[in-house]
Amino acid sequence: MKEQHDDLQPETIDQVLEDGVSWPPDRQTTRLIQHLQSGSQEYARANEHSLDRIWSRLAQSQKHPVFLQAQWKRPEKKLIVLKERKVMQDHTDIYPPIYLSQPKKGRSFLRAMGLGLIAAVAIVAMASFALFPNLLRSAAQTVNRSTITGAAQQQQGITNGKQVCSFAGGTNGVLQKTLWAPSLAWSTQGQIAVAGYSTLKVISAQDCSATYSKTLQNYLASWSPDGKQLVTADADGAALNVLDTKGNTLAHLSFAKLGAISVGPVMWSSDSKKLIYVAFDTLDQSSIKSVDVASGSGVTTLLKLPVESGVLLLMPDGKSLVLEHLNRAEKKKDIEIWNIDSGKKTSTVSFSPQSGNVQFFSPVMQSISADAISPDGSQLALGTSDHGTYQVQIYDTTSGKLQTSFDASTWPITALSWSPDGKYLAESTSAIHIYDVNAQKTVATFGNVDEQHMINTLAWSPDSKGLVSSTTLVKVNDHSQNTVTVWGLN
Amino acid sequence: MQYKDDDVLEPLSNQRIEGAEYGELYAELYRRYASVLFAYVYHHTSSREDAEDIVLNVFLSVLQNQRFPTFEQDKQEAWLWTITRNKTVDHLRRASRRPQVSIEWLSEPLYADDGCSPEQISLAHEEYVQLANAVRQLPELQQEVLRLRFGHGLKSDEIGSVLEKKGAAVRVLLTRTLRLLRRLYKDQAEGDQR
Repeated sequence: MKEQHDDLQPETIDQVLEDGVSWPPDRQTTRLIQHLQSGSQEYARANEHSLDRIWSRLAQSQKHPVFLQAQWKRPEKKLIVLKERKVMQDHTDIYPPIYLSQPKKGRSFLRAMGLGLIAAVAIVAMASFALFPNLLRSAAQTVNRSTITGAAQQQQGITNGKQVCSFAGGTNGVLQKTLWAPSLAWSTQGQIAVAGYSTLKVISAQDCSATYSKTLQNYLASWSPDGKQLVTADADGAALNVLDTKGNTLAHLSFAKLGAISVGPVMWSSDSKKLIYVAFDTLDQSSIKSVDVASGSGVTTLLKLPVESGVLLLMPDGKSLVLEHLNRAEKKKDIEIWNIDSGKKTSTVSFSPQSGNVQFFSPVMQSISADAISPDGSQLALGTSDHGTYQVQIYDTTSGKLQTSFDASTWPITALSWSPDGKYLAESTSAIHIYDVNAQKTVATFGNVDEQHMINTLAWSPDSKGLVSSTTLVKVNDHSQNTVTVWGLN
Repeated sequence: MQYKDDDVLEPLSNQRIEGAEYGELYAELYRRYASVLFAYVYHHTSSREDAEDIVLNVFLSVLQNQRFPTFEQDKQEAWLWTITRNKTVDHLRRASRRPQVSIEWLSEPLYADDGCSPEQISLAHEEYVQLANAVRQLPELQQEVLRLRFGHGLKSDEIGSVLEKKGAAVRVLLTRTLRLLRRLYKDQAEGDQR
């Protein structure tokens, strides 16, 4: 009976909280609401500031002149500012309301940098390489096919790299920690695809002449092993698009059809008929699925991934993957190798941050700035950082043990990529370095950049005689251009 | 930018809206949705700056289609949620991390300038500490509902959108949670009477 007279009822709860007073009035209820409102006020104001900052940044966007007129019609305070609580009148002087129209300073370069160069490049590199294995796969399967030279050649040993050509690869995606590094893919037909924030470009690897360009917000590009199909992921369209070499659409696979709310990384089957992809079933649950490209049907779940894990890399054999998995007991993330067929973990990489100073929130991100899996899947390379020391560490994926490591430079390692023949590892810091894995030494260094720039993506040609890189300004909150450069290695 | 669901996004009018009218519509759109979308992204990323970046990107995407404000409201909302969810997922995938820390949203209010007596301030402080401790003991979902209601100012239906639950379920949960917390004050009042 008491419940029937309770002033808190689901049917009226919104109104009670809106008014701050229940009916019939109950002192305890009112007091509780007052305390919840006052206790959360500081947080609420921080949220108002966030909305204010977003609005200011929208208004500052020079890319959308029409929007500038919206500045004159800014929302009135009552609609965007947290509603002034009747019970909080005493505090309004302490916390003056923040209005959208209040002038705000833009984000400074220092603030952007304050987020940490290492963190920024780490995310860029991880994002890039999370999308790379498909490239490596197609490259590995076609190591003897022609690219720049048009003829199969036995690798004689790399001693230097020379620029073949370069072109504008499109604007950077904003912003700060979510900088949108382009995905690069080099086909067996001698085409290079650049999937960036605003454009998809396909150019000739010989002279950087454009084959076609599309205005698309992509985050992934991967050529099929036969070099005839390119799959890209359209972020806003929420779909994978499969294109032919001239840019004609062969298949449009919506994420919904693929049984996912988002997709990536993606790799091709060896016969170029299927795509194997990481499907986000929900924000917290992912799985590995495959789909028949031509029909867009036959979506099959190959492996349901454990919760609180994320795929770093799909292995070139299409049967394994590299997973980061939250280890709550030790408050860190483990890097694990999983077999897709058996659905079981096969090894845990023995990587651990050298400093031991692991942050619970994102420990891996604190220490790994780049990763790449060898073409045969037997070795995992990690670019690591530890208090200003930057190393490349190579692990055996079967045992999970460290095989070798070498110091990089005084710069963070921003990208790693294995040559399709498995002999070399390309790494980028303030320059591109080619590391001979067997000889355990750097055999070529080229493509230096200054402190204002960073090399954020690397991809090999299928015959291991070419490399393509993307360079951008470090100022990650800028819509600056990516410069894509094709290198000939000899 | 190309929309793959153009058939879903048929505008109310074929006329292109430009200039100040567009700005006004855009501002109204921001008023209506920015808060709830921000709450959603913040809920999943646990990072204020990441959430700001993602919501900014969502509205930048809207800017690229000048007809967007003319779409029917439910289509607008569906589109905005789709884009926001996609960008959030994409961000989480790129950042290779999952939110693992709860967001501290309760902080003790200031009492100094209220003109209250030291005794009143002491009592208020004690009540606040009890409340904060009780909130922290709640199941995560109940804490989230409170945070979204009081920290983000969302209504139950909006909270439902963020947590992917029905508004009615949120209302029930919110009511139960408040009834539970209210016992603190009832117990205290009974103690005072004794």
